[in-house]
Amino acid sequence: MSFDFGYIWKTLPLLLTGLKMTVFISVIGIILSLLIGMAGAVIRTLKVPVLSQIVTAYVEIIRNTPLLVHVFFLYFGLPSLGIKLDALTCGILSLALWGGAFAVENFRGGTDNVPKALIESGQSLGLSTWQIVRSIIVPLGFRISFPAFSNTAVSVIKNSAYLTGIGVAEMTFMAVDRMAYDFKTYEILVSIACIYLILIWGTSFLFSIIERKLDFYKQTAERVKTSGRFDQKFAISIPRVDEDSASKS
Amino acid sequence: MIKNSPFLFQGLTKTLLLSLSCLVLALILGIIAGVLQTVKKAAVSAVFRGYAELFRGLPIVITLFMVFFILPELGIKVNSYISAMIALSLWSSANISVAVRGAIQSIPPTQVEAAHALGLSNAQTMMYVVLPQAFRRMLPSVIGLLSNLIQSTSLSILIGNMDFLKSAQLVIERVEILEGGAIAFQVYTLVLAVYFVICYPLSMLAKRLERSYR
Repeated sequence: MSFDFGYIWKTLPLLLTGLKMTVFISVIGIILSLLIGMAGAVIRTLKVPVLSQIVTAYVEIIRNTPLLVHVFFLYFGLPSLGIKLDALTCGILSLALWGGAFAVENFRGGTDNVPKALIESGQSLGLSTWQIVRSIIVPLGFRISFPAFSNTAVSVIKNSAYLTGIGVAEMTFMAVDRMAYDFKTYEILVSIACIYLILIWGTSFLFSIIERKLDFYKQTAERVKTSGRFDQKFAISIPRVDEDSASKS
Repeated sequence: MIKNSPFLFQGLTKTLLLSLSCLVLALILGIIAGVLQTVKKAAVSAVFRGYAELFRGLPIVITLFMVFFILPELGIKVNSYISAMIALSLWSSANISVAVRGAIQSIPPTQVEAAHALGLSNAQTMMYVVLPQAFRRMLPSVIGLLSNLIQSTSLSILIGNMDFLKSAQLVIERVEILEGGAIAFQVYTLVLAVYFVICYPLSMLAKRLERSYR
């Protein structure tokens, strides 16, 4: 067994087209799961009658069944009911539903910890429910629970490799496809493993930077420590979002 | 579907067997790697932290393919069941090792000092003082991981292992060819339901334990 670097160089463009697909699927998957997660968390925090139970059931079902079965369910199972979707749509949909279920749990930690007094004061100022959601629950909840969500987002990228099972032309599929032609298994597998690691560790790093930017609690605590006074902007929320509740998310 | 239930059941036992063997392997590997991540020698702990980061960072599918395709090239003959077992154990042991490390680090260092003062050796302190307490603290995440592991075994069909999902697919094909009915929707619903029945109690238990330790 010898390691053929020339071969890697030759197949790299092919793997990179696969990578482009992986990134495309992941980005859409992450955005959709963010939206699903935020909506679900708000519904559960506000305890909207029927919807809240539906969201709970959705979260529990998705979290306790394998993603690969969801993918197959959408791709092979739905056609027998007369609903036909192409592989890419099925793939993105299943990833978004999966990530969304986990994101609901992530964000609920944050939205639950938005101080009740803030919501009440919003109500007493005459804000509508939608305004309270938009300008109090979502921004605060998002900031508190972003670290938890970033884990889910990275998992969405990793799990895009599951879509090989239904033939979506993402990176793993391209690689396996190529292996069947050239039998250069060693070279191909090592190179896609490296690409995945760069992609995933890079994304985690990126998220940790965003986390630091969003972590206004810590920033303000530092500012208070150094200047000895609260900024007017943060004065309301800081004393209530204590360390205990933040770590619960 | 009822006619084919023994066949589905066979697949299910294969899935459960795979999960169980992975869990045993992963617990052993994970506890060793987790303990070694906390040792004072920087080189040793760095190696095992690297191990954990590597297998947590790689998609499970890639680990699975690597084990399945690379081991034979190294002259080790493995079937898809064994490859799946190795790959999934690598993945879950990496996760368990992180849980173990966290649990060990949560034990107050004064206890270790007290044990040393009583004349226990490092290994004895680990065995009799730290690990029993750490084990209780890592239990919720290990149970949660078991539920994840059971779900991840379904990936082994990508390298041709005959598990529950695969047997379901075969049943669908057989019925569609022999009897000409489309039962894919029903069979996949059944598969979802079975996985749910197995994993839901586990994640409930994990959640409850987590709450009780808080």
